[in-house]
Amino acid sequence: MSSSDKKPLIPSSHITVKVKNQDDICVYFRIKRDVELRKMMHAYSDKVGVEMSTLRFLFDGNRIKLNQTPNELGLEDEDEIEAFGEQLGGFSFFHRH
Amino acid sequence: MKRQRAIELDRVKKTMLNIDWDDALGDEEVPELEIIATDKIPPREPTLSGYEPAVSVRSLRDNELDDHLKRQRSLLTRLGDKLADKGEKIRNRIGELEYEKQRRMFQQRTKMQDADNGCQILEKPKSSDVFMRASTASKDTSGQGTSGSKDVSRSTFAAHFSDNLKMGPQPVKLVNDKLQDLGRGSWISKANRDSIIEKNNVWRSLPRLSKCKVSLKNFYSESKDPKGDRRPNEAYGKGKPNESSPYLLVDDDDGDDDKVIGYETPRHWSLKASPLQSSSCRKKSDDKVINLDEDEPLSPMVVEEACELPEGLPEDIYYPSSDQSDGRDLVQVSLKDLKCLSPGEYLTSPVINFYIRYVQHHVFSADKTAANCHFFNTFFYKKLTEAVSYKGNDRDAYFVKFRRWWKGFDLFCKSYIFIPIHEDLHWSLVIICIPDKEDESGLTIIHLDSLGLHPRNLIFNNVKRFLREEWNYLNQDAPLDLPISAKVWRDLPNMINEAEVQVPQQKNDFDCGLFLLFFIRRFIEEAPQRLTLQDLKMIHKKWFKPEEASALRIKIWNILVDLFRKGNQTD
Repeated sequence: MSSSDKKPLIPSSHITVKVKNQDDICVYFRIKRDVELRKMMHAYSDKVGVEMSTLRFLFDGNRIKLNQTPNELGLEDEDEIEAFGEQLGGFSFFHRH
Repeated sequence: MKRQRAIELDRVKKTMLNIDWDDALGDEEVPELEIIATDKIPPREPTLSGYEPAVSVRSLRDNELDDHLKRQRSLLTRLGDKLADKGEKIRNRIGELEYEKQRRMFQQRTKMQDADNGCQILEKPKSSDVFMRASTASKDTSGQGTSGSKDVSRSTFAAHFSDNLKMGPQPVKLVNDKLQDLGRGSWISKANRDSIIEKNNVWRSLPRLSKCKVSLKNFYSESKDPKGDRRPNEAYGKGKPNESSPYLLVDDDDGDDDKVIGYETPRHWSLKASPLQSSSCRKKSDDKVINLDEDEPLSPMVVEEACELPEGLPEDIYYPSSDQSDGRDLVQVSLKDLKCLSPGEYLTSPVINFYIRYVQHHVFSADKTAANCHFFNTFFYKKLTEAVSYKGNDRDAYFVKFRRWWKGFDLFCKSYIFIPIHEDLHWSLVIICIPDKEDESGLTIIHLDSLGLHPRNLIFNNVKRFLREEWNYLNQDAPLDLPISAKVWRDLPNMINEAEVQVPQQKNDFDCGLFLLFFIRRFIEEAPQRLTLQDLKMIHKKWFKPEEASALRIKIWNILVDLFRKGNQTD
């Protein structure tokens, strides 16, 4: 095998993705490029103990759909996905400055 | 010999390990997904002044206590199961609140045995207006619940009786059957009021007291109890003078619902922190009608009917659909998200983000001004504050990464950039206005806040830093075709104006999300293609009626129900 054909330590079919939430807790996943990201989302919500329906997963500011794959999103190795909790806004009288 | 062997071993260590994964793994399957590691980075300091949400229960007023209790219960039912502690903290809080409520009720009973619980004469106002609104903000009410203080009601209605009204000795008593309908059922005793409101159409909002015209005849009706029996003067407190001199009457919240005098004051009047709405109540020349505000009376609003939510709808929808969009600005709305559009509920990010996209793609799709706008989603501002306050050595790289949020757009070529802000359970809006090439006045940042709650200076500061960072980044390449005046571009960091504007204020504690959306919509409708500093006059305190913004609740509900019906899902 020539030096130009060297394979990385992670199989080329996989990438490592970092999922970070608003509290800067990061979970690192190794995922196949052609697998729907819903698997990763479920695994993440289980890991942090939050119901998945309350989370919004964004890549470069755009919402990730459950059936999208890393390939479709253009995710590269070491890319970061952000998990945002649902934002709720009115104004509580008990939260006044 | 030993030395030679050591060198050989060293050489072995340094060679790259080449693995042919196909050979190595053979038929074994690499897992599709595995968690490699989890780390915990210490959280950054909060970007806006965070404060402790837990409030000393003792310091809460009676109506605040009830309100807080109600809110905590609804939080428990809505979020209890989803929370990590399964709602344990909320349950503890409810326990505290209920204990405090019981304590106060017990205290109330003992007080009632000692003293007559009629209305107290607090003071004799100096002015001789027909009415005067009681500024409860000026009274010190912090001592509630302590032994030395008298309980002063939060449901104060300051009725100021002048000599020329030729009234008998009885104070004013509002009688249910004599009041005109004020929109959502008549005014009734406190006890019955809530149940009546629920029975009526919950979507119709009650007009503000200060906007209504109420005839003198109704206001100064004879004092009767709700059953219609005439009541003796003594019921209103002993020792009151018989002449009709002006007094400030206060319902002392003693739980005796029959003795309600006047209206319940909206909560925002009695908050120390919020300025009272300026209102002069003056007598009309025809001597029959009192206008309770300087504003012109409300013209009747056409209120849209909320349509029913049918069965068998999809769990969620994506907007815009695949044929309308490249998928970059996709928004997902779940059926669960519709709950936040129920009356009195706080709006959530999915609904806010949906309507921003809806305005962009549907309402103003052909509008030239809207076409030249950029709308960020509700999560952007948090990223912005992180980016401008990032202290790492790789600051430039961090900003480059952050720039992917507006990949493919030159922000300085846009006319307007809309940034929704969510902090401290409240929504507000920032609009960045980019001037024309001929305009050398610089960029303008406008902050629109329906409660004046978010710290404007801090927000301006963050947005300015963001614009400077973007300018720094673009300036490295020195673009040939400058989007704005060369003079402004050269000195852009020093040519960012902060616009101090007054906007219509919400009259409740749950509509800030609707106001944010209405600000966007109304701004696009009225703003020129490029804003000049003179155009800022269009934004003022009476820019629109607060009821118009509140009416968006039903509109958005109907739009979403319609989209769910169509099952408007992208493939």
